[in-house]
Amino acid sequence: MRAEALGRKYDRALAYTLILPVAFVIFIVIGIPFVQALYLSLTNKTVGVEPAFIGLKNYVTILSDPDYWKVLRNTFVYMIACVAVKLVLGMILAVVLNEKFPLRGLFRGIFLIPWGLSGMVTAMTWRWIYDDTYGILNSLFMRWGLIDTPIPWISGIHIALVSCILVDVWRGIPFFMFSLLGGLQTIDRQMYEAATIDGAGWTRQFFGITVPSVMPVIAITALLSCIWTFNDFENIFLVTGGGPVHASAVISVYTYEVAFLQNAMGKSLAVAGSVIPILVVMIIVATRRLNTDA
Amino acid sequence: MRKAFSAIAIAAMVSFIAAGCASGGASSGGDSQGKPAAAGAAGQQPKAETPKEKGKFVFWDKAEYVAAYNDDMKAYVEKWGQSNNVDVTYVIVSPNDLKTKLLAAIEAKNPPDLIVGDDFLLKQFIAMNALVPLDDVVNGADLVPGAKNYTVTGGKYFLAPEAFLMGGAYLRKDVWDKHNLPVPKTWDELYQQAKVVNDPKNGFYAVGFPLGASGGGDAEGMLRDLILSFGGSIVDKDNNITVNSPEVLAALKFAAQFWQQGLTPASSTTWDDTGNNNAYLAGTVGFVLNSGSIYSAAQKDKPELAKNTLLIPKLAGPKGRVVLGSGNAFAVLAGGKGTDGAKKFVSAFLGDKPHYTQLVAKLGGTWQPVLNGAQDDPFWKDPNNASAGWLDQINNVVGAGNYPGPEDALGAKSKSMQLVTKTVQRIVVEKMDPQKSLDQLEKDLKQLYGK
Repeated sequence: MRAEALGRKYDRALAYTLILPVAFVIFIVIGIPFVQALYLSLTNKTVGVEPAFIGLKNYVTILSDPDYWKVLRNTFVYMIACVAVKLVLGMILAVVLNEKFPLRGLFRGIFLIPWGLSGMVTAMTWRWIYDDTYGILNSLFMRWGLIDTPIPWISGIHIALVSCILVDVWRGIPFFMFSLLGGLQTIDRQMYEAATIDGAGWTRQFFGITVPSVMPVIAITALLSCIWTFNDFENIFLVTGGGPVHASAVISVYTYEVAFLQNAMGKSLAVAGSVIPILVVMIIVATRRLNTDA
Repeated sequence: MRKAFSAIAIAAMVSFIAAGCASGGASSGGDSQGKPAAAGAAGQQPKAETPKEKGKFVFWDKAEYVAAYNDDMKAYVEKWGQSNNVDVTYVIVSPNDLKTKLLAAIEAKNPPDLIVGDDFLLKQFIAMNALVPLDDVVNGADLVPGAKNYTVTGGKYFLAPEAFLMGGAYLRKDVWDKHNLPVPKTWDELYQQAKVVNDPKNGFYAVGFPLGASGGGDAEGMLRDLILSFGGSIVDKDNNITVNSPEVLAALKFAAQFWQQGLTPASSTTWDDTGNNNAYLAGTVGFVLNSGSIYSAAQKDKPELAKNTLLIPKLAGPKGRVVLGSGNAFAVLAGGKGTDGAKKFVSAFLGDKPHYTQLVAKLGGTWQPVLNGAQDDPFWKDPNNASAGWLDQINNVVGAGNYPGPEDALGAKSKSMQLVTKTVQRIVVEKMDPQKSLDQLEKDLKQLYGK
């Protein structure tokens, strides 16, 4: 009994010893800049000038700025739409690729390509595809007689964000597909055979067996994707630049604009800091989910 | 066993941390390449034994649309470095990234020593006390008067001119001829003709006007020129905000028509400064306003397009035409280690007229020269050089982006923030009432100027 308690004590000591250097590094490279950023969000910091403490003025300013609310709304629309569409399409593809058919391996490889491409290459390519003067999308639609005049994919106030969502979905589906495929492969085939004998159809089997079995994978994949999509910068910045008139701008792009085009570092850090509570909640939920699954 | 393993692990970890600290301590006197720190080296080695300390400076140069410039400048500055015992690090930076990178470098207290960029962009760094005065360099160079007009700030020179980027209009003569239209001289003529040549169903737009707000200068420059030609102004000569006037409102409404009537590609509301270049070179627009960069690119890659292109002066409005100067400029950053070397190099560059003259010619009309006498080069006398027609403008430059207000950091910031571009964007994209959008512009300007 005593030896067991002693063993636990050593285990704990070993664990803390191993964690300590990592925690130290994290504190240096993340903790200190994070605290400093929070402090600077309470100042009038601009580049090259010493900051002066102004309390919550930056937060009050951004909360009364209609652009901030527009951008925050865009961020949620972008995150929810991207994750929902990627989840649905990723699940469909995962189910299809879980079946046995000729050249299945080849298709799995092909579907992985968008995920493997550099974000910059993807965004620039899509910007070219969307262009209303020499882009291939409008050219094809016009040739097929579907439209008379080009669709302003990246400049239409109601469509620019949708265009960015499509790019993110195109690029992100493989992550969902392969995560869910991994989950599907762990489901015991006998469950489906038993369900078939009991007379359950495909739909019943899908919602009664498949979805509950991969629910932990769905939850963690969706949560991680929510965090990544919420912070996405390059896709929107490179496809539309957040324009026109912030129609497709999200928090990260707006933060960049305030920081570097307006040179208002304190205000930009307040913009970034204002969404920390939302991210913290998502991270806590994701971490709990991971711990539960473990 | 477990106890022994724990002990070994803890010992190893402590040693690892201790080793890290020790190595940090040992290297704290040197840089990341393991070279000894300057102070330490100076302390250990008497100065007399050092033959002559080699200078160095870091040069961030703007990526020009004509790549031959950057190749030439790299070779030139490196050769100058060798002759003057200076190590030069030459870095090419995209103009769209220049401001961001420079802000980050200044904040990190690691700015380059010398930089070339657009004048309106560099002027914003004066208020931060980030630039070294260059009055001696500018006054020592043989410059045309207009060059001083676009680089002066509050009566002082923190920028030294490198080249004008005056530009003008590009017109597809073949398209205009097909419709028997004369060459437009005024904005109104252009607008009337644009309605005739516009053919979006076949992928051709009459004009290619940028309206993106991603930090470039083309859209803002065009709109400010338009406002002046309508008799309006952003500020008066004392920086009082005068933007909310019938003239400016008329100019904004006039500009918005090009988007509202589909005379320019819809995507131009998100274009950066390469947007109109690309559209014209792709043959999808018939008229653009730009510097000579399109002409030199067309000559090289699209000779047929170059042949069908007419280069004409900027258009006049109801109140005539005001010629504002803009261009590339040198700036030397304060706090750099190679400030002296950088200043010497700029003086040497502006003092080497033969090299400068051939460099300007190499850019094929993208630049207009800032040095007296360079415009006498055969390049500008060649009857086949369509860009030569723009050269006269450099003698009529009355000011830069903040005209008729003083050329100061606030004016440069207002131009850089593209407040007028955003005003037209609101009218075009959000369908906001023009007067309401103008009221918003006035509010933004008053906030910026502290009025």
